[in-house]
Amino acid sequence: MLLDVRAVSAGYGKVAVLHDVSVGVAAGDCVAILGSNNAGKSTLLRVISGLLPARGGRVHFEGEDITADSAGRRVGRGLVQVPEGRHVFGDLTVEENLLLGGLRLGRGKLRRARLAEMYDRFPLLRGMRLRLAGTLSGGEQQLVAIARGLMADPKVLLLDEPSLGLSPVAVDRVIDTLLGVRSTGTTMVIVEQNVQLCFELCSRGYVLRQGRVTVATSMDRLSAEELKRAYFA
Amino acid sequence: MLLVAGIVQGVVLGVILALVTSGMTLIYRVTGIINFAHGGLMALAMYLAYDARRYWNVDPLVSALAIAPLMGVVGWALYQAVIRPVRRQHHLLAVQILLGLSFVIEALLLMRYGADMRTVESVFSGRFVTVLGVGIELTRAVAFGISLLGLTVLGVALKWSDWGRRLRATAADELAAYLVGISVIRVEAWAWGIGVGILGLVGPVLADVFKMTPDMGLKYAIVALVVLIIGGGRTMAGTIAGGLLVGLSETLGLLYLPGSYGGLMPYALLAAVLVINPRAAIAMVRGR
Repeated sequence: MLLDVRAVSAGYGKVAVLHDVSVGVAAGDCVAILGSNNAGKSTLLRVISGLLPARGGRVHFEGEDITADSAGRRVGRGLVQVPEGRHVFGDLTVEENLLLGGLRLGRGKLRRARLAEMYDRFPLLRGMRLRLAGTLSGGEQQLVAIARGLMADPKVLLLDEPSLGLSPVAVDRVIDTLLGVRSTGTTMVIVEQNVQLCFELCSRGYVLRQGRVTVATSMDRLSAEELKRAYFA
Repeated sequence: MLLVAGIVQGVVLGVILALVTSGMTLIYRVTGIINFAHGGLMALAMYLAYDARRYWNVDPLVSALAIAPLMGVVGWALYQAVIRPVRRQHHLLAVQILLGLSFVIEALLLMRYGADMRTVESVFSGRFVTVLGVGIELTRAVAFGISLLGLTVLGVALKWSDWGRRLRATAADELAAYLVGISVIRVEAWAWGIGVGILGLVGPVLADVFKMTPDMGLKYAIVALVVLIIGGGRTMAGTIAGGLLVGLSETLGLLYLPGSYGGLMPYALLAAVLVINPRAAIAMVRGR
């Protein structure tokens, strides 16, 4: 397993959100984390990316225990999260956003090459490179956020609700973008309310209910019945 | 002719105030805290230059080269020891601590140096230059030049270097900063180090331009705060505009208004800004 979450528990203050959650992600996989609001999906991503410390259990990445690593260290290892709500640097230009995404590549040729590659993959962004990211539409900002994450040349890209608050056209563009990312072999973990998006992209799915994994299976075996229970129970 | 003199003097004062305030703006933008000890720390830097002159006979323009990094370390240590432990608390707690620090610095300076007004002479003291037909003290002109240089270097570093991008990114969105691998704590410490270090550069240079008294700190903290608010508190360009507006309004006010009413002009300007755009003040209260 490239990313191995073993019996993790986590929470905020006195509230326990995750209980003994285990998730395995193989290299090249795209894994969906499904479940209703408050099931603990975003919390799980925060534990994986290091924004929230685990209270129990371990997180392993490329065979190494990274449970104690800071968020910054994990980015350095190639474990990169695209946050919910996009969180682009609004006062900075699109290009500056991308350059910051590539901090772990250093300031040399490697990052410049990666930047050129991003502009080839996202021609839309090349035309906007000097605009302030805060002035873009939601869909455009989501592309900036994804491209910023990809700038780090991640081994695993964690996406938290990439379609949230976007128009249907923008959602389609995000799906196309992520299909492209998957085709380059980048491993992904996606937390998403939009089940359609998960079925188009992901091979495996984990269903969370009240902070516990209730179903772990391949996406094509995930039954409508189980999904209905996950979201409406 | 009087108008030209007022404008030249106002621009010179404005640029100097802009550099003094730039450190406050940097600290405010990155860590969300108004440094009420800003003036007190500048006074400290000025008195260090005074001691360097008295004990080792070092010109303040030279001692500034040592005092700037020293004050940078002071700012860094201040952040690590005092600000960092309360960074998740209400920001008024940090403001209270800094205001208290300002009074402590004032008391220490008073104990050591007494209440007399002092200056530190440099090689340029007592000489004048003529700019656009207006005579200016050379020390003031030098302070203007150094301020211009300082603002340029700071502006270029913030805009074009990875260091500057890290600072601006942290100011814009702390969560996203963590997620691109920025060490937010280190960036905040940098902001304090540079913000206070600037005072170590500009303080000694001003030691023969502004008269030193131990109680000057709070006054200059307020002046810097006025510049920051008038400039919008967000960008270095805004801070420079704020400095120029305050400098010009004070100098022109003193020239054209009766008595010393001109000295009130910066505060009238502040009131006007707050009436026209009260959101400026609301943004300050909310922090960042």
